[in-house]
Amino acid sequence: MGQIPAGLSLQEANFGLFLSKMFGGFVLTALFVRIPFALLGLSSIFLMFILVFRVSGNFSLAFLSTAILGLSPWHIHESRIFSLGIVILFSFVLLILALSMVFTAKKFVLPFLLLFLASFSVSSLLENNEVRNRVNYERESAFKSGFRFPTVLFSNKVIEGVRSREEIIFDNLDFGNYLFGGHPRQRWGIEEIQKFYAVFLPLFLVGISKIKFRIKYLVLNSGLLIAAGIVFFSLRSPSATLLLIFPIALIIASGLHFLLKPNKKFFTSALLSIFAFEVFIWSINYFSDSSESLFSPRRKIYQELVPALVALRQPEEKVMVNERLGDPEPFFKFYSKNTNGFEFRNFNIKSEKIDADLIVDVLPDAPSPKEALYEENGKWPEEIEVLAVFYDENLRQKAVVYNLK
Amino acid sequence: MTKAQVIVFFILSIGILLRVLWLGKYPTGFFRDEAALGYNAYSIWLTGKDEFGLRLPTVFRSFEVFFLPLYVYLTAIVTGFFGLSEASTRLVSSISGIFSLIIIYLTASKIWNKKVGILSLLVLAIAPWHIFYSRGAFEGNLALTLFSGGFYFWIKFKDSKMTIHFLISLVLFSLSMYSYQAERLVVPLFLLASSAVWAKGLLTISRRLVIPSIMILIFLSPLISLTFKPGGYHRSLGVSIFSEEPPGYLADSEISLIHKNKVYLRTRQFASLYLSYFSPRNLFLKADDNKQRSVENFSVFYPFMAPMLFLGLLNLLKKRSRNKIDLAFWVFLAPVPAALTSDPFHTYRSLLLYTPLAICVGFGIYSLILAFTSDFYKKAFLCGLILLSFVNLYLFAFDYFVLTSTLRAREWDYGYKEIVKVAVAESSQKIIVDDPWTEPYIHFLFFGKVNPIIYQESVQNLGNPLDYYYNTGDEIRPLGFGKIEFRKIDWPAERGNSGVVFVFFAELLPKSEYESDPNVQLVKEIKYPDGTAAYRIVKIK
Repeated sequence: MGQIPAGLSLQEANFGLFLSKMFGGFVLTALFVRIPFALLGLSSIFLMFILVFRVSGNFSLAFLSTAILGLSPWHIHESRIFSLGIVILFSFVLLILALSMVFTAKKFVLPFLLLFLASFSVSSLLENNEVRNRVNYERESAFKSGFRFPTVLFSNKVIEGVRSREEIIFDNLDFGNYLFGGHPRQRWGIEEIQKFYAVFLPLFLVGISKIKFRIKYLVLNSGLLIAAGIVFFSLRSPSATLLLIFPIALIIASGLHFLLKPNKKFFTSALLSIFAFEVFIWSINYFSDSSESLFSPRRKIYQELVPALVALRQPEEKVMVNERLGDPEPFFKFYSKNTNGFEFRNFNIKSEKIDADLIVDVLPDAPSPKEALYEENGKWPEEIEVLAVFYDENLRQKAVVYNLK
Repeated sequence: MTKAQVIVFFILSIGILLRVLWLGKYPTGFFRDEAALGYNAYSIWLTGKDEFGLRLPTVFRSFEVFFLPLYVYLTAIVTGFFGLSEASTRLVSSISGIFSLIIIYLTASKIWNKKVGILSLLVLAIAPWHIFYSRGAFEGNLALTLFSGGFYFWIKFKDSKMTIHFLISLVLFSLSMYSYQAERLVVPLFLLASSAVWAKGLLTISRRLVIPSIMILIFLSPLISLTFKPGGYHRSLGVSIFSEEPPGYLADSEISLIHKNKVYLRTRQFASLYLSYFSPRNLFLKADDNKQRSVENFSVFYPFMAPMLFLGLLNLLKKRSRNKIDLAFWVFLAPVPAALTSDPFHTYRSLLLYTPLAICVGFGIYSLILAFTSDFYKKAFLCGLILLSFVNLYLFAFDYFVLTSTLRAREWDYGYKEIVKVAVAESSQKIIVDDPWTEPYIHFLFFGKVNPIIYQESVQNLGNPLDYYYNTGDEIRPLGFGKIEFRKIDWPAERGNSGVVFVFFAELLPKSEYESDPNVQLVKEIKYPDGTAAYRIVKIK
């Protein structure tokens, strides 16, 4: 768990630093930071079993729901990182367990539906910059084209507000988003991960029509509540939308439960074989650390950079770290445990005198000539002595450790 | 007239209006493919030859796209009567769109009932994707109409078992294969699948079908023979998923079971591309990535239709009848050609999919109406639906006629009509055009209404088309004709050439290059509708 996924996110680093204030520096490892979420993830699986068994009275359905939840790449990944989604999932399943009478009753479908509609409407009307900018852009464009009718009739904050809410809903209704790590239309700026196996799709479709009785209302009511939250808070990322795994896993389990009948043996055997194959392939991919998204928040570079810098640094030497590395301070504190003598800020060695014994600086891919470390012939500037170079995949830049000659 | 007929007539009138009004003006601009279709049609009408000088080609080579020919031949007749213009070039697509409306009504009525027919007609009449593709010169839209017609007569044939229905169906299917690439794959697959399911019924009447089948095969033989030449496969191969490594392929990975396993990676790639065509996010929200193929703020269908599509598809899969099975084949085979190409969610290549989906939406609406037991709620639901349709159409009209026209004019090669008018009117020794982002020559041919005979006599470097036309996919472009040249301009070296008119894409010639030089006269700066500079025409004194 400390190694896969590789590198820490900023949240993990800060969480670790927070824990270290209470428990000491020994918790400053990826394993310790992630253990609480692994435990919550495991607990959510057990709670799921108890809930489904209590609601349906059917052991095999409860088992299948738990298996689907526990084996889903989405749940596995979120249980292995700092994830508020896992905390909320655990709390949510606990809440439903406590209020199962409400969530499994037909009479509460309408209130939950109204809640969803209210969430949609209210959030559509709330002011936000994105909506305002979009409206201004459209009205300006219309005016430039010579359109002389009042543009407010066609482009206004209500219309754009509704569109922005629709965007949230449909963003979370994409097969690629769930089955193929965002492929073929990855969303910009969002960490795309594979959430379910492709074989779950036919099970989902079967499950929708075969889901029964109180489980049906459990899925509906919890789904509407979750959707209301997602729309209201504009949630898109895998962690933020993790609650969706709950109703989806129930539907998939219902589908599988229906198919596990004697007269459907061949079809079910084929599906289960594909399922096993997909689990195998995903596991290899995931545990070889080959599956990270373009927008992964985890910064692998610090795992190598900080220990290397600490090894190079002589006692009491002053180190200057460029903030362009991307929030370096928490990571340095996490990995080195002690950043006395470190200074973190933006700087440019060409335009100011740097008083430091060691410097950690950056050089982006395809750099402009204005970059401090840029040289036309690809070499390093003469005034520096490069000690180590690391490549930062997240920000597409090199991190360079050097001292000034 | 019955009430149903009045409603059908009313919806059809709206549909026709949306597809015909201001056809030459909107979309703003005139895309290079449209200019190619139009000019080749004009050339065929006047000379029987295409722009390269080949007599009655089976495919049209332009820009190595190898357009299937039917659109061009039909447009040739239109340009013969109405002259060469944007409207006449787009008219065949527009009329195809109108016929599609009639066909969808007939098809949905046949599969279910007239109420579903009317609802499907309404869905298609106001559908953003269908209005969009009916207003540009898109041969895929013609193909869609012909396929839809073929489908209608195919299901009629299955019920009536009449040979005439069989023949009409096959003729229409064949014509669709002569219209667009995707149909070349979908038609045979569809007929195979549908015939396999109905094998017993077909066998009982097979004798009557032999002669029509042979006639159609003969009719298709030029197309079939072309399949094995670059002219027939170059385009498909160039855009297919097999032209590059699959996503996830890592040549230097140690995990060859996954990262070098092309069978697994390709299957996964195809599955993700195929399913993207059914993804609600793509169908209702995020339009085609290519801005030339979409409308601001709108995708294929209106967002409120999502639950109805879901219900319609569910019904298609659950309650089967012979016609529904055929419709299901249409739905699930239609995106296959597009899914075999690497561009994600290419609406044009998957155009065949959206008509049956519109039928599913129509049925979804019908099943929702049926779910209400009280007449009052049924009527309230219908009123709500009509209101939602009206509001969405109203917003679509603004976004299409105003926003898209303003913001996406560049994607539609806007500006050439004026460039040709201005540049040609300017007396000069030479006109040199530097625009690496489109095909300027075809715009000059089209808007200049250049006589094909004169063009073919004066064009530089095209040679004898029989030497290369179907046999190579290499890029072949005219370097120029008459006094017009199309190439990169070496401005520092050529700025002193007196009497020459230069046409630059605006970004290639900053204002400082002519404002400070008294020898360089700005003839005209052509702007996009949003006011940004598109092209600059300068003349050296």
